[in-house]
Amino acid sequence: MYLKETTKKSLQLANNLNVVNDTTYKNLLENCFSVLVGGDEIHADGTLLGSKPDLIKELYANLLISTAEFVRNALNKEDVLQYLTEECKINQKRAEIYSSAYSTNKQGVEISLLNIGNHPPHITDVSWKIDFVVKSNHLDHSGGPLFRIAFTTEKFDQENLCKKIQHVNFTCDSQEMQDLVYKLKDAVRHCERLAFDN
Amino acid sequence: MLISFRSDHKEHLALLRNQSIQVLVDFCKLTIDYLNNGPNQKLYATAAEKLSVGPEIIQNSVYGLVNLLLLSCKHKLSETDFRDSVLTLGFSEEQEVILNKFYQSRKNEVTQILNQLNLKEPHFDDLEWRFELQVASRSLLHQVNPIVTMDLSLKTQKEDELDFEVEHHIIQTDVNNLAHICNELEKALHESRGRYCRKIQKSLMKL
Repeated sequence: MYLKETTKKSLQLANNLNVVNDTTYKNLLENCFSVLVGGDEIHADGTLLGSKPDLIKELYANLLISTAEFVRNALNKEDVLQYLTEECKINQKRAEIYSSAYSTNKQGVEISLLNIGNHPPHITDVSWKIDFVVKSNHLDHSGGPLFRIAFTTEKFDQENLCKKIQHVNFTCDSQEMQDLVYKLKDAVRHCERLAFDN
Repeated sequence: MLISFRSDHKEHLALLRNQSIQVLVDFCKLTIDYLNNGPNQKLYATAAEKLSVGPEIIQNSVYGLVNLLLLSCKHKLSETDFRDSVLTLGFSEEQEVILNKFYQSRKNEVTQILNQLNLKEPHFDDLEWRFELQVASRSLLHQVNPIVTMDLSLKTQKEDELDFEVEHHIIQTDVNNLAHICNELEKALHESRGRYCRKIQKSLMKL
């Protein structure tokens, strides 16, 4: 676990009651975790800045950096508390407030960090419908069933820096459908067996 | 059901009305050859010499028979419907028997091909998968994240109707979603065999 000296120094602003009072500190932390979990800032900028906007902004930015770094290195509540008090010289009370917020939000931040990266589209859902062909320009009589399948996939869009939902659409006749289900079942069975074996 | 023929189609078939049974059988053979191997000008030229007509008339007669076969398959004519349609074209009873035999022998094959001519949309072709464990990434150093990465191949019929174009989709999912998707698709398959779908299918068959 490594933080830059400048970051550690900036975090010490949290010790200064003249710069951040208890409410501001609490609100800053709420904003920080909310953003890292993937949401919006809960408290508006204007209400937090007070008389020393540059210092508050500096503290906020470094809270974001250090929180991401703590989660990235998989630190637990006690590790964080120890690091803040010993390495960053933050007073016990403020460090405890931080570490308890950290432990409640750690999993959320983990998930959003997990989703950063360049991975193939991730299937999250499937929709299907069954069609029967009543008539076509080549044939007057019915055929089918035809399965229309759409996989909903999610991908991190590098250009817009947000989640993008795409659909993979395709059609199966009965035989192809059986083949698909058989292969998926095979995959599921292997996953289950792996879970049992370990 | 009687099918109506276009006038140029009737013209093309006119030559055959006046031919003997043996010649008609030969024409059916020519048509089968056309279906299997495409047009064969050499054969048409020989036939044209024998009947002392132009080769393009022979060719048109063969095309006429092919079209008759296609139309009958398209409308799924029964034996009696086919008989009535052919008789109204002016063929004799004996000729009709030959044509009907010809129709019955090729019916399934042609219907199957017509079925494939349908809309050219991507169909499922193959699915390959592997099980992976993501253990670290730049943004999260310690993790254990099971992932199933899949290569979904979809095939689309090309314009020439002989070949397929295969496209690959590399996608991934987690174990929970995989089980969910599998479950959902199995439900679809089950549904298609259920009473409701069979009932609908049966009533559509009757139309």
